[in-house]
Amino acid sequence: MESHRQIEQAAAAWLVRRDREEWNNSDQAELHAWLSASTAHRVAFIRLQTAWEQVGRLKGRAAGLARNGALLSGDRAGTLLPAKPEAPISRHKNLDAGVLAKNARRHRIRVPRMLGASVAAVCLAAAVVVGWNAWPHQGTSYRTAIGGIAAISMKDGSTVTLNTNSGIRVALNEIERRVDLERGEAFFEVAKDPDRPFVVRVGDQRVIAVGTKFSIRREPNHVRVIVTEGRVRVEHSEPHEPAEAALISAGGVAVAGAAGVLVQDKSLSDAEEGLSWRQGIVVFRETLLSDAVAEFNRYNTRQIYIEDPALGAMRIGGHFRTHNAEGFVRLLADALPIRVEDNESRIVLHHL
Amino acid sequence: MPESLDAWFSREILLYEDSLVRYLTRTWHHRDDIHDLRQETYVRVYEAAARERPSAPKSFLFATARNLMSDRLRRSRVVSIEARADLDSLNVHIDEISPEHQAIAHEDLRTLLRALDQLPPRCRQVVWMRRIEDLSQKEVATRLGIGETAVEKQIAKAMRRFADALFGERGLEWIKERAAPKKQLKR
Repeated sequence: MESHRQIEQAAAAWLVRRDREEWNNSDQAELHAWLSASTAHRVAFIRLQTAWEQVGRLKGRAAGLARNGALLSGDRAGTLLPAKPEAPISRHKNLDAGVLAKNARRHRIRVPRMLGASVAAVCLAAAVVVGWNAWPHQGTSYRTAIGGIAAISMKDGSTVTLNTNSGIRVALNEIERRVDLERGEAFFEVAKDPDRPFVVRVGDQRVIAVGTKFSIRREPNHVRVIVTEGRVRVEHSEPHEPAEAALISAGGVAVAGAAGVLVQDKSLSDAEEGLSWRQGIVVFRETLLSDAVAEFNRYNTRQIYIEDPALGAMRIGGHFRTHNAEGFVRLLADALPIRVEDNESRIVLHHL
Repeated sequence: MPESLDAWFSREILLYEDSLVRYLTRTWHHRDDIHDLRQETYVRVYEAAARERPSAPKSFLFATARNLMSDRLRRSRVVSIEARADLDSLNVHIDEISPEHQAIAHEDLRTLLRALDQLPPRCRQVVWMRRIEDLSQKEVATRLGIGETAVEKQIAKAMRRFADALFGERGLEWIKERAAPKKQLKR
């Protein structure tokens, strides 16, 4: 029986192994098997991974110091700063074994300890690489109201079209074009820029593109991505298994949730039906009435309410104007056994 | 969109590790068992949360730990003169004073820096190059003139230390403090 210490060692070994360049799909499968073998494995793995990810935050601190050379605020004992360890003498430089031995004794790796030091400031070596983890929480926000639609032009030439009741935050810099889809749905026409990936963050997921056209819709339990041109990659932002990423090309409709990504391959025209909202139209195909009504309610402040669940289970099809809820309801009453109660605050559908 | 179970777990449960370890240590008198008890508690919490996310994670965590210790006591056949656990404290709900989420975040960096500082020199160097300078494991190996396996060993060691520091530092220090004069039961 494995002890928890042994499990912890194994988890650490897996984490470092995953960092190797040669990590491939069969390694991935092995890791998945090990994680699935026991919850104790998974829990140990999460614990170590979480801590290791936190260590990455030190990057930001180091970068901040290197940039302006100023002091970071420290504690009473002095300044708690990571000091860059001195580079060791490379063992390969000197072929003379005798000299090598002498050097090894004299030039042991010395890494100064900072804790408790009363030194006021330490300068980090200029060679410290700036960490891009220290992402400033900024960018421009855009929101649409219920029933609204807006097109936003970005500085890189990309366009984002926001659907009803949606919100995004946009931030561009030298290495990345970043958008956070905070709410609702948006269509992206991404200008080609191979040096700067276009990354959309939606909750737990990330959608990454180079030069494509795609839409993302944010739902309570999942994210829906439709690609109409080019290719996007959809991945979980904190994957405990790297193979969770999915590559979707034109015609693909993907649903990404906590469990993974499910991709449907459709014809381009079928996929584009999911984008008809840009023309103010919504398309239903054998859609449950309850779903169709929920969809309409996204676009209108006066909501439609189905009183009888049996009614909601009926299926409908057709093209409808998103802003014409009354028209939609009248068509329904013609085709189905429905009595419409038209109130000031909402529309109620009763079963006849 | 509900976050993944793993993200919830690391955010809502690991947060309380030091309080949990203190509780376990005070209640269960075998120091050697604490690490196992902690991990077993995590396993139970994780599995339960997979079925239904508990609305009060901290209470759930402590209740799970309490039940685990009760179960172990019940299963244990040996009734020794020195009680294996403080039975009374099992029945009392201990409301640990645990730091706010915000306070933890601030403490994190200092804890990490301190942990980094306390690593053995070679280990610290490897962590620095890998995590702060963002070099690949291969590059670290090349620059230091050591094998990749050696680099991996250092990182694996560092990972465990950082986890202990970040989640359980206060708890572990507390254990060390208490350990000194106590009589240890032989198994």
